[in-house]
Amino acid sequence: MTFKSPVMKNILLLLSFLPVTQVICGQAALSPHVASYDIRVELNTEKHVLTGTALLNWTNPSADTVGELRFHLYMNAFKNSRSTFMKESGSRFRGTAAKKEDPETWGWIDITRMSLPGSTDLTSAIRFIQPDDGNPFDQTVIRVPLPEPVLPGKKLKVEIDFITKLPKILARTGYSGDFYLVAQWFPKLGVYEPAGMRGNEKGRWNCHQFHANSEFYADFGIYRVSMTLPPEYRVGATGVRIDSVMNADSNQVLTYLAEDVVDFAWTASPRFEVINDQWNDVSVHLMIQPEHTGQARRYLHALKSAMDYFAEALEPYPYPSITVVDPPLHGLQAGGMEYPMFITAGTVAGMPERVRLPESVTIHEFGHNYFMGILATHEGEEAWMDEGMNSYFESKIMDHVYGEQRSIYDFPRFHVGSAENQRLGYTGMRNPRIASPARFSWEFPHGGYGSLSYNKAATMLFTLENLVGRPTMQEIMKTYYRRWKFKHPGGEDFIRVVNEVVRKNHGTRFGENMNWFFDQVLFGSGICDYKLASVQVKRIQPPAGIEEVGGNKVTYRNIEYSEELYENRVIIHRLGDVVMPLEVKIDFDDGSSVTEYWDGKEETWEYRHEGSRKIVRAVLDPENKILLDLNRQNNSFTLHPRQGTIRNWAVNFLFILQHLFHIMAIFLA
Amino acid sequence: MHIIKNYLRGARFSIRSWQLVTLLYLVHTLLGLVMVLPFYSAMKDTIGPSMALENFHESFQYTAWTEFTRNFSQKMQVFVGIIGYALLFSLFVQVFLKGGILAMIREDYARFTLKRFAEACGTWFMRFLQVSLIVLLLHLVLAFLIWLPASLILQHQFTHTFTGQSLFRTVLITLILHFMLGSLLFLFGEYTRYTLFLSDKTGVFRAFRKAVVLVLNKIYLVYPLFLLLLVNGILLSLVWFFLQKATGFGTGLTLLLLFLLQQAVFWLRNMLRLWLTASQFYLYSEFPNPLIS
Repeated sequence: MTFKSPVMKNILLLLSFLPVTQVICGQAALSPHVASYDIRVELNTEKHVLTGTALLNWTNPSADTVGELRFHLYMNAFKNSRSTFMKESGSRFRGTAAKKEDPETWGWIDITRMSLPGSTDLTSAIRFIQPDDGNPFDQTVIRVPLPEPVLPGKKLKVEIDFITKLPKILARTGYSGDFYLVAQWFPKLGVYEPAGMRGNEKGRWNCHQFHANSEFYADFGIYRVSMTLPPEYRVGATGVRIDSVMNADSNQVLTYLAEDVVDFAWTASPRFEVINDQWNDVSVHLMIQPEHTGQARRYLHALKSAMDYFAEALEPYPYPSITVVDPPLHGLQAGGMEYPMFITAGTVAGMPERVRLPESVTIHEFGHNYFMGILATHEGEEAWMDEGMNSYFESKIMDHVYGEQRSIYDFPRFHVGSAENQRLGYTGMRNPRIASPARFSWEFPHGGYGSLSYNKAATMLFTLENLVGRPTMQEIMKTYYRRWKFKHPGGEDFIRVVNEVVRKNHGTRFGENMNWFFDQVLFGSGICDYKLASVQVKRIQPPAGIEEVGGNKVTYRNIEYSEELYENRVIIHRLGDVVMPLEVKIDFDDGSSVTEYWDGKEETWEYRHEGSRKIVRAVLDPENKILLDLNRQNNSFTLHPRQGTIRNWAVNFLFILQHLFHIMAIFLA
Repeated sequence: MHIIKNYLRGARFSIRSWQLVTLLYLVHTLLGLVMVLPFYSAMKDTIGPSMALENFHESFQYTAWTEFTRNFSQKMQVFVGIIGYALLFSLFVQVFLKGGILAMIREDYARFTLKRFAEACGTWFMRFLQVSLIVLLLHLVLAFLIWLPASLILQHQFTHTFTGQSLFRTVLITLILHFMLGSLLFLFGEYTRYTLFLSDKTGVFRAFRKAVVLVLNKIYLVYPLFLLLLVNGILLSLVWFFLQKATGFGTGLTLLLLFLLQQAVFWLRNMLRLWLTASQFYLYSEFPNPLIS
């Protein structure tokens, strides 16, 4: 859209310096604008280099006097093999190794000038620091002492000139051919956490190094970003495009504005097909590869389904736009990542409709707009709060939209649901005791980060939902969202909401609070496994000896018993450390059944019944509430096992073997 | 004409040789049962009194299946190891049977006797084993020669330019190439055996060289017949595919029906194998002076 009138241009220029949607719509800001950026950047597509200038506008959110700033220089994680990121990851990410011999593999960021308005230079005072591991070669965090401390509530402006060399795509940033995914590309201020926030006793900078497993954490702000790049490139970005002009060099200059966000990422490629759509008042942009356009409908359906679900479960998506990026095959390393109002998904040509991996990734990454984008938790320190909660919602949405037990793979004889897949991702770990999910994400030196932060945390929330009931769980999530949206909640904040809502709805049915639950499964590393050890039925022998009947001594054998009596026993073992309340359903031979409740605390538990009925089977946790139970196969016991399934498998195995021998005979003998 | 005539002649032979087909079927089934019976017992032991798989026949359950295979995995690893040895053993058995099969084909409609069959098996075993090892070695070399450059091309092109479609096309072309060259190797091996069998000479390498020349010279006859015979197998697979769909996941009586169907299909597969060998052998016999001089 272009305006010829100079008055109109001036009005637009004036408006463009203000939060546009909030001004136009007359809305109050959704978040505290602690760290806002005005960035102008030029992309050199020959050298894959960004040259930029950023104006940071920071407000001290604390009651402290702050004498220094700390910045992330994330791109330096890819500077050499000695950075903490490269050392921890072994220079591999998602199975792809960095090609060390290729100089184009590496990426870096240099700050060429940093100053306060009025030309007070800060550049010479910049120092690299390594707050996490002391690795002197890591240059992902800098400390900048200020000549004058910033008083509580006061603003500070900092001008920064920087040059960023993008790496060949690795860890979801960089370039591949003419495809660019530009993320973590500018000097990004850490978060100054005031006392009381996320359990802090006193104010402090929270600015960790870039680790192999860690993601990001930043303050809310307004981002106004102008990027200059060749005219054939199609661009998608966080925020809304507010201006598009050609400069004197015939390059396009695109300006984006994003409000109430914690980050800004963008993508560019001349090959993108752009499909625009709408969800309520939200503009939807799909930047898709030409060979994948047949799957555009799938992406959009998944995205809109997620938007519908979150609108109901939490609140409607609050931003004016969302951009979904479909990377090329050679740039798939950029897929499956989340930034505010901007997500990357991924697919391959010919992806069958019944394999819903693109849908699953789209829903997951969109969910991060809530869990990380709006509920701006610390992705590095408490990964379970974004990955776990988001995986929980991802599975709920997938199973809701595409069907339980068939939402991911949906073939007639092989189908997999998202929720069960989350659970099996955790229960299938080689060592589920390896750590608790509540650790910092770089503190999983021997593995388990993904299974515990994503799968176990999601399964924990499903188990919680099954225990307290779906309505209570829905109320918990809504309360948590409304109380903490556009803030930085910590784990304890969520647990406080759980305790409050459960107490309100269930009184002390689950104890004084739910801390027992979180202490075991979130902060602890124990496992949950209950086993139905045995079902025993023994006929009670008629008594022997002599009994007084009407003053006469008679032997028992003369007394007639109208029916046979049985002693029935069901024995359960607790094999794990985690204690969960359980139900046990016991079926008798006359078709009747009883359901017993056990608090699950003792190592063993026994149910006894004497009477004319015989137990035929027993099932532990018959409604599958305790999804954290590692082995559900041992949760049932029948006295009359049916072998139909394994007989079927054996018959099929024979058929396969016969053919194996046969094929070999044809081709080799 | 050569092709159709020998194709039909081979069919006639395989239909009349039901005893030989049954023998081949029993040998494969016996080998299979040696593996399957302990496998079944181990599965039964793993599931024990659990009801986790009781409703599996009604619908597939990923959770039950995954937990079962997980609990069964240690025992399964033992079976996976044994399968390797079983295949090796089976290779020897198959090579052993080949001489008997060719003897029966040469005698055409003569009555099948186990004694004559076993004698022929023993006579040709060592020479045919050498042929099999040569063919196996060449298959490995072929796989290396085809897939190494293909993977290098893929790796080189993958960065920056490859799309999913071009990746698919490259893999498909490589697979077709592998199939065509692999089937040629198979034909070289087969015709080497026929050469050895009819000439009764012991020079395996010489026979192989002759067979290569023969197959390449007569490729317009040899390859179409091979493809025609391959269609038999594909048709049977299609029939089985639809039959299997109709039977579903059987337990009880339907499982018995499934078992009988499977075994019938496998019996037919053995018949097709005889058909393949007989048709090619007859074609070979018609070539003018193909023998080692």
